Amino acid sequence: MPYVTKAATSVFHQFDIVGRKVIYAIEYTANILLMVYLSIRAAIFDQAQGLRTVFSVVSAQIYFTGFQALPLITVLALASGSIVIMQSSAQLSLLGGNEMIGNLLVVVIVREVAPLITALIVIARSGTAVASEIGNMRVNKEIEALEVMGINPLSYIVFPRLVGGIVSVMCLAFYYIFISLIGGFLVTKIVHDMPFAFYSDSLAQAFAAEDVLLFLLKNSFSGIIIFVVCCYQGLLVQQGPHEVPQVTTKAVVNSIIYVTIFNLTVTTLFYLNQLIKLGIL
Amino acid sequence: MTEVNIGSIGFSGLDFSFDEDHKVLSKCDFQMPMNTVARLNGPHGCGKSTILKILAGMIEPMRGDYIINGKPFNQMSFEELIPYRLKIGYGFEYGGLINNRTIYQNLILPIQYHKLMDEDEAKNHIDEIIEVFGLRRSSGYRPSSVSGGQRKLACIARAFVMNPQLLILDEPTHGLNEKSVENLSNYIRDKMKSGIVKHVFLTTENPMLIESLVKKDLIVQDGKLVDFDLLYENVAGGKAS
Repeated sequence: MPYVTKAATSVFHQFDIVGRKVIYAIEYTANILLMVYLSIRAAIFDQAQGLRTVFSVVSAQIYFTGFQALPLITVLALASGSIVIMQSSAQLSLLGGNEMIGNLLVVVIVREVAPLITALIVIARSGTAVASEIGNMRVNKEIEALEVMGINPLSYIVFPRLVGGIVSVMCLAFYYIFISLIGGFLVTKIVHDMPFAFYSDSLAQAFAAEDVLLFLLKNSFSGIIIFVVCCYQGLLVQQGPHEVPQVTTKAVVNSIIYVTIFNLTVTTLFYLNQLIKLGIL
Repeated sequence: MTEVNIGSIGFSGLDFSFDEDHKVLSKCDFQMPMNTVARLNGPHGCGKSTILKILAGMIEPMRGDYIINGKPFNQMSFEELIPYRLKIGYGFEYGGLINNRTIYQNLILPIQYHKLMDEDEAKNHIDEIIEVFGLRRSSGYRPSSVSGGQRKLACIARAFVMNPQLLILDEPTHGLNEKSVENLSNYIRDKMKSGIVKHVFLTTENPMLIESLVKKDLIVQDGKLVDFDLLYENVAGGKAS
């Protein structure tokens, strides 16, 4: 009997651990959503904050997150674009379906790879920077100083970073797609002789209105998720500098988890919708 | 935005503790007279800086109220607090300057943000403060590029930028030389005589500042603020009882 009791206690203990983790994840998500709402609300109702103040922070954010990330994005976009074009054209030519290359590229690059890789690059470069910057601001009492001067940190710090983040992620994703599709084609031209007219026609026919919708949805929300999670983590710093690397690591991990789950959910819903439209489900 | 004048300041049954064993204030009732410079006094770690933060509205008491002009300050929303915050100047013990802005940009930030003055007026006002605090040479540099003393002075100077009625200074003399302390003391006295600053709370061990400025010692003892009038010549003129 004691063995049974012990085993049952252990099972319940495991349930406890899982339950606590689930509750923590729900609370964390609720706090993130609340912060998005509060920062937008603060920006709207903050009569003092002029557009000039917001614009200066937004433009700095776009410069750092967007412009300075271009070299890295270029390398990764060229690599992924040329790999997908080379591999797909080789496989499709074996199957005699070369004209399908446009569809394949839109599905792989535009809908899936570009939003995810762009988000990961932004998390690695800018998410870490934002989390550690805000964490250090907490340590140096800059956030307290803003509050005591009547400046709402949510409208002064978080909101411009959200706006800058959304704009940057969308521009970078667009740039990624362009370089992948065009640059990738030029790279593969060395080893694979495909006429550009054929390639561009195939791409043009493959693009649909829902691709634009998917692009806007995935990239704008990735921008929001990354920057709100990183700002939130940065603002969690309470005691001292030793917390800054801890919150930065957590910001990266949580941003990756949330962005991946979001992209996966959107893709799943999109394809379920497609299947329903086709009458398969 | 409605302008407010900070008149009466007090605590009503105010509680604050770090944990069960470390109570800072317990059911504390206290009323601060006008035109008074009060020094918070007590052993290290008794919560003097915490009390200053409560007075500045940076942290909320656990129970009871912090009352300004008869209204519970700690129950106001961020938006409701803004007119009061514009009348509160706070000098941090350390840190507090925005690191990605120059000293000049730090000083002008609250004026620009709240659009309290037009550009020329703001510039003249900041220039005057820069002159008083001797920050001319460092005004174009970021806080990380200037000395600790200059950072401290800049942080104190920023507390005066919005012409505060309630001035709160946490260890304002740390890292300052005698001349700077004398300047600060004279500047506070001038601001009080001209009727701009009405209440000053500070923590300091500097004898020069205490002798020249402080009228009241508020000793943090057993969760209460024990009011103790000092006999030095005070800023309102004459001697305290």
